[in-house]
Amino acid sequence: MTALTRRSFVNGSASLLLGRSAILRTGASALALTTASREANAWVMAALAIGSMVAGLIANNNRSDGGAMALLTANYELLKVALRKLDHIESQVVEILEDIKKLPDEIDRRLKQENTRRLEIELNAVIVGYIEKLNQKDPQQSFADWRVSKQTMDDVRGLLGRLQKSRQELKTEGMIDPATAIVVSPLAIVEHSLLNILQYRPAEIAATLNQVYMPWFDAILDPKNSMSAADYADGAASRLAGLMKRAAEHPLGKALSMRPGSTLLVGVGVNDITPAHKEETNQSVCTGRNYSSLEELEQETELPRPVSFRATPGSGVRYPAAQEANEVCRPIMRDVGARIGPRDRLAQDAILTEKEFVAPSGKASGLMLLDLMLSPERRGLAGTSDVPEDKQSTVVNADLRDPGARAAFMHKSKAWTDAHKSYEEFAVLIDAINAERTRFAFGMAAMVAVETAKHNINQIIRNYGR
Amino acid sequence: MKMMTLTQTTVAFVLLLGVPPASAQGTLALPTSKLTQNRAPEAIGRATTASAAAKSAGKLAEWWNDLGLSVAVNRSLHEQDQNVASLLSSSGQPGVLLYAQIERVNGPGAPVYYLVGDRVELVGSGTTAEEVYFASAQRDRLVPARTDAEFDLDHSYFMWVTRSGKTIQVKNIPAMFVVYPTAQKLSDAKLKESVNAASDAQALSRAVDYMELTTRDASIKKRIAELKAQQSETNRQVDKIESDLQQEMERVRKAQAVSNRLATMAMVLTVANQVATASGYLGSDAGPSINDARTPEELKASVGKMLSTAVQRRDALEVKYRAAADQQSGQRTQYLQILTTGKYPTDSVPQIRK
Repeated sequence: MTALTRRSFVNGSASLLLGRSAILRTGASALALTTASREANAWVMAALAIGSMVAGLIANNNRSDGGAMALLTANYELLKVALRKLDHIESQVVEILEDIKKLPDEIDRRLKQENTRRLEIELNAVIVGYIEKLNQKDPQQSFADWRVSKQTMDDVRGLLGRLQKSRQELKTEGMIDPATAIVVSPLAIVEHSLLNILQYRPAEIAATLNQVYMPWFDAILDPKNSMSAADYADGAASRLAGLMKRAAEHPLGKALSMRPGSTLLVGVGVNDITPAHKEETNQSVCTGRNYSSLEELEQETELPRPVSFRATPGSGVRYPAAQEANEVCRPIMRDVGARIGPRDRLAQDAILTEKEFVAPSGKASGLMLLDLMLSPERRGLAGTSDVPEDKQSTVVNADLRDPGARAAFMHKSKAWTDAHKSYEEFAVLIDAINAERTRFAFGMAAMVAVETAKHNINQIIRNYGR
Repeated sequence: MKMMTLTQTTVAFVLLLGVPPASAQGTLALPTSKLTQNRAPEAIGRATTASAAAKSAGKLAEWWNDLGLSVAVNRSLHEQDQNVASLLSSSGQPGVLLYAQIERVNGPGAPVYYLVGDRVELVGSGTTAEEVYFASAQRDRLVPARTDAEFDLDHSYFMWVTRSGKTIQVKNIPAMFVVYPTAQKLSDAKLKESVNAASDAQALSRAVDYMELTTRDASIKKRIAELKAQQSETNRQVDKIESDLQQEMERVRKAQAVSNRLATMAMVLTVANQVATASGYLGSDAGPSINDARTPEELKASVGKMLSTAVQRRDALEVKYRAAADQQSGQRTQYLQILTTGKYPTDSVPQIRK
């Protein structure tokens, strides 16, 4: 498995979060604060969704006996296969813990215990050492002989010592979170395997499993323990219920009934109209009269103003100069009817889908996440099927003959910007819902891993008791 | 002088000091400061009587002397010698516990130490020092306390008296090593019940075995043999019921855990993953109806059915368990009657007399 990065996550998860990222980059009204929060949620989803898948692998492995039966039946090849499988899983756990370390949210602080990582590193080293030891076996030597040889016993004793030392020194009593849970369940099985190969007495093996691991498993599964995997899953479930309620009360959530589908986010329109008005013609009507002054002329005449006048000394005001004396000329006006231009409309939908999270490896996770997207903008003339009815849109009249000017006008309208702000708020809720879904899945998968290990260890203990 | 309720006060005092948390392995980590200050040296003395054995433990005697209590302790131990010897020979228990509890009066100068009640208390005999004290601490008892005196746990300690042949051995145990764990036990009702039951049963069993071995009364021997046979059968039943009950409670716990989370699972996971999660969690308890569920509704119905069945079975087993436990209790009463008839010192064995 390659190291998980945001890039590989986004690329690998197909369109699930890619659309969201594109929106984040281009969204005109994305707020800095919510953007940061959404990026954080994307990280939570990325790391924990894959964590829950790895926990699932561990649960499956725990369901097997991790090679215990292979040991008992002296099946060398089977034991090697079991350990290689475990090694492969544990390598993924190491990577997951590295990614979890980077989680920004306070809620996930409990997952980032340094001791968990150290325990995992030690466990991994012991598993690798165990495999190496198996690989070193002389093919001529029987497995049964190899198992009881002094060299094998000494080496395995060293591995067990290393594992137990880490377990004892790392103050494991508080380590009951989901991240530790996925480490501790294989730990129990590996320790059992080592104890078994060293031919510890059944009572001693059963006692170790009973006194060390069973209470540990119980604490991880107990929701009353505030740091436990069960509490982590239940906390996520509780926050998820609260977020779902808030989302359902949001106008967009209401419109979508919080189910996959699409709804009109916003419809705006401009009716390009020039109202009816009067316009000058190039003809004039002239009336003659002497005015003693320009003021007298202005008082008497009505608009439109005379086109010209000239004062003649001693004879009052003569107007217009080119015409006969005592004559005033006015242009003839004509009525111009209203101009009805295009009834331009612009609309956009919000689309909610629900998709199964797919890991960068292409493996489906079983975890369903919501995806909120904006549809492409729809532009067209009122009454066409491309755009919503006018009763669903906010329409204004404006004298805007240029299509580009109309588009800019609609994008800047209050209805459009308000709707996109509301969309961003809703998107933040959806991202938070996804983060909590992922946390729940991770916590639950970790619980299943521990429960299966507990079941298995219980059976091992019972077998020793017979 | 005033009277104080000793056990309650001691335990409350310890709890106020703060019971050290149990580690993952269940051992107690005592505060380091308490371990290093004012603690009596560990010493073992051997002689033919308890008082002489205590005296022979050199460092222990010095310790008493430093506190100005050697006269009072020796006198009180001497007074108890007969009782201790008698219990060691008549109870069938491995040891007798004595408690030198100290109280301190802080005056203007150096503090003055006294033995509480001016005597070393004979707590009783039983299986181990801790278990005897624990059984004894279940009961409140009144002891005289000096005005303005404070119990001084750091300077108090227990003496565990055992016998090997004609030699009496006294081993001192700092009181905090016994009182702290006891307080811890008392604060944990579940642990208290199980430890109590196990150690008390062991003490009773030792007493009965001892009586069976030493009595010359054939009818007592016969009754004990009959009761033992009955008890063996009842115990077998109880073990079986306990085992079944444990499994059923485990089933209920798991089904409840899944059931509580099904609604969220239905929201978050694919149907296949919901089924896999439920099956994984329930393990071999998940029947075909859960493993083969095709819709969240089917899964919910199947888990619900499993839960209600397990709850019914658990309840039925609890009733059976109570009936069997009543039988055990009746047998205990009969054993106690036999012990009384055989003049066993029941009152001096706190694990039995309760």
